[in-house]
Amino acid sequence: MVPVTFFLALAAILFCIGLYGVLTRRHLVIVLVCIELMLNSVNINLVAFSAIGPFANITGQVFTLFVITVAAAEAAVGLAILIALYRNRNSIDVIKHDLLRW
Amino acid sequence: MTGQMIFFIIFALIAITGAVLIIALKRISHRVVSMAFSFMAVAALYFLLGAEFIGIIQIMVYVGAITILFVFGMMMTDHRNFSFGPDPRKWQQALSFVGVATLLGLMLYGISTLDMHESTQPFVGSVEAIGLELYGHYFIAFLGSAFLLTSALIGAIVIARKEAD
Amino acid sequence: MIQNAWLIPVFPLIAFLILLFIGRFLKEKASYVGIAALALSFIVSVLVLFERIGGETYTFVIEWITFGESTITMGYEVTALNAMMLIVVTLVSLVVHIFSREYMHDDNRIHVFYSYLGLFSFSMLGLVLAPNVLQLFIFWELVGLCSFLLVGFWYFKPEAAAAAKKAFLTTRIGDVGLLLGLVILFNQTGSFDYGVIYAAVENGLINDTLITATALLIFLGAVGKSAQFPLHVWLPDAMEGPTPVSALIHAATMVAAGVYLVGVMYPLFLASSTAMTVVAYTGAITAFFAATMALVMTDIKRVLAYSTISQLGFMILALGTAGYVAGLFHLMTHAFFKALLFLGAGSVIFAVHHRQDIRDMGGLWSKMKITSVTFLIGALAIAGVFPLAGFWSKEEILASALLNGDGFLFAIALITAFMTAFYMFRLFFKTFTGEYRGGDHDDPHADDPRVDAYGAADVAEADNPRDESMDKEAHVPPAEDHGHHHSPEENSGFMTLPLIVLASLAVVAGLVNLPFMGYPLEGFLTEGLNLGSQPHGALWLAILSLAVAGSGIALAWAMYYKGAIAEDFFAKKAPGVHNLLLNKYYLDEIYTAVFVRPTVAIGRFFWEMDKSIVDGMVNLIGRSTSSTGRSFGRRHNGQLQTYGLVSILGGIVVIALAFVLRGYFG
Repeated sequence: MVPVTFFLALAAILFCIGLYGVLTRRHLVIVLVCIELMLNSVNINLVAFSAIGPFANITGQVFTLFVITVAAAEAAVGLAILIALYRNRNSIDVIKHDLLRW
Repeated sequence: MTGQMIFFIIFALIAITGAVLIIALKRISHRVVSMAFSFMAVAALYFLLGAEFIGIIQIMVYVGAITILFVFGMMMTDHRNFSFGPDPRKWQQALSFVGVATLLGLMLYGISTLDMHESTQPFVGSVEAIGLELYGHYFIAFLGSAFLLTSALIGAIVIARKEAD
Repeated sequence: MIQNAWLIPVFPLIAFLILLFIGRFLKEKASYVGIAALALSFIVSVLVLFERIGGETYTFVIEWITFGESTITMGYEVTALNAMMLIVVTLVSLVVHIFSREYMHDDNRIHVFYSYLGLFSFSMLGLVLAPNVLQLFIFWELVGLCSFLLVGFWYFKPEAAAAAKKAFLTTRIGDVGLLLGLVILFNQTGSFDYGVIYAAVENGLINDTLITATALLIFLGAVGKSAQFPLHVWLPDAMEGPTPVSALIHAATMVAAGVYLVGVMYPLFLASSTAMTVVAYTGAITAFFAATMALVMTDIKRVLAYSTISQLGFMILALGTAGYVAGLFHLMTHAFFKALLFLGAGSVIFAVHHRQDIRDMGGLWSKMKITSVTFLIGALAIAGVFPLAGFWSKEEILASALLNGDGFLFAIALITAFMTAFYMFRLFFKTFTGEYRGGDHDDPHADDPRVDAYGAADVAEADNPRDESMDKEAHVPPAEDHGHHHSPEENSGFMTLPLIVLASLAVVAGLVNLPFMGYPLEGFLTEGLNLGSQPHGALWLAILSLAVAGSGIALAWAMYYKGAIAEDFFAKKAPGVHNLLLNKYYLDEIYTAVFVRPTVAIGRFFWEMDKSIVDGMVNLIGRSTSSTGRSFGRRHNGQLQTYGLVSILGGIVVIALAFVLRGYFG
């Protein structure tokens, strides 16, 4: 049996890769992809605890469903924003979108 | 080493490689494909854990729907011009790397010191159990997520349509 | 009537309030309000005096503040001493009010002037009527304020503003002493009432050291107010004020308040021989030094100012040598003849178009008969010529110095008497005899700031000087209405009447304490008080004092009228001394170097400290805050990923801290 800590470690690694991508990639689509990746790593944790955690039960899987729901909604809205942004400013470079400042 | 462990290592490596490639590859289409691979490997891990339903949902939603969504998003924007020129934020990249590495180090250390009595037999969550829980205890949250999806649908349409009309 | 003595200060107060509120509409007519109020006060004062002569001391007090076992009262009191003072103050104030009607009539702020005069009269009368030391102190400060306002009446002249400031600050030193003295007295006796204090002193309830300390502190107040050495420096400068003010405040009334204070607190002083000695020597030294300075001054008002200081020194000397009646008697006679001299000087100054240097005067005897004669009477009176007022009072002071003081005090008093006669007649001869020396000046107002105001308009409007157009100019002090090149002539009745009144008083005021009639004033003043016997001089002393006065007059006559001795004879003989006197013993310079400069330096030091260190710290905090804000603002560059990075880093720090400090994760 694979110990639960292995899954936790994998989730941590995926989460950090996603985080690094969010912080450094300039393409807006990739930023969104990286966010999906981070959500996914959370799901791994939930499912792992649900299956082989100390208090294994079904709740973790139910929550995974909710997270997937939210992720799908987020992806849809995020892409819609991305398209609107691209239409208005003709760029999907994160650096160019710096209106949110002093 | 059990067979489960071997499978875990294989899928974990695929997931990590896919994730790294998302960041490292140049072409946007390649990146989206590597994302699909990564998600697929994660789905395989769900199967390994005995969470078949979640694994199927993962494939349907992530590998199916969301990947297609991203492909559309990619197509509707400037996908040929994949390079933005030299990055002016070298220090920020370095700092991000250091910070994220620190975070990872902390988490891995924390995980490695975890000591919990884990059950030897995996708990198999059947679709029936999930359905009972979802329509029983979490019914309100279930309805809430339905509303969330509906509003996200409408919102996405409103935001993305042309403003000319 | 004595029950209604409170009316006396109330009339000027009413005049002050009227002028304060509607004075600007009354303009010149404001003077009548003041004159009427003072006339009423004077009438009441006379009635009160008559009633007091035959009657008892009247006291009326109400409780003001009660705390613990102490009660502070307010009210009024008519004793023999303040009945006399009431007459002096109201009379001099009345004639000064009348005199100012003419002297100030071209000033656009004449109503302000009269309101200040009213306030001053009220304060001075309140001071005199006060039944306890605290009330006296309140009015004491009020007269100081009025003095400040009136000296600085022409505040647009820098000299006047500086003089007002100097007068106020210098007297402040004395007032602090007075206040400390009062605090000690209250601490010891639990009351401010004169009667309680007298009783405490007589019954030995206060120990000797404290009595001496209190007496000296109170005397310090008198030194400041009465311009005694070493705080006399403000009085000559105070001559920058209008001349009627000099006559009223700086000759007759306010400066005499110090003497009055010593008189009122006399039992306290009598109980301490140290204090008496200090008082006597202060008086003698002041009298002598002021007289020497008066010898060489050329400004007519400054000569009179130093003369005032000198005469006040005489009074203090008399009080310090147990000559209670002598000092107060001289206070009264001096009030009359010094007011006379100042008003005479004012009349002269007005006639010669506001010039004050006696070297520019001369020959006024034939042109200004009334002024000249009254001024001569005043000069004779102050010199102590028989039978004028000054003779009687000065003779008593000399007797007091001789009998109760030592030979040194007597010698100084005698020399000062000689110098008094000399400088007064030097002033008289230079001003009124010889040729008029003021006519050939092209512009006598070269250094007069008033000319700038409307010197040019003056020529055009010389025929109609009271033209309404003048009123357009705000705050213009009196300008001459004679044109520039007229020769001086006698002034109108508003100016000469006060001179005549005061001159007759200067002649007869001495009669109230005639030796042949058994010293009626002495009997009046000392009745009911335990002051011991008053010193009286023998006949030879009177003759000696007369001879001294005569020789002083004769010397002045020889030098300044006859020309038998060259005017600069002494100046050439001893140029060092002459210079020393001309520069007032360099006291102003010494004070500047010793007190003012270090104070200013300390002040500047702390100012710099405040600016550089305290303000610097505040500025540093402010600047660092704003620069921090600015630098963070620049970080706020709109880059979402930078924001994300910063918040992630913060989160990492929090996690790391939690990890290190609390041992989470394991």
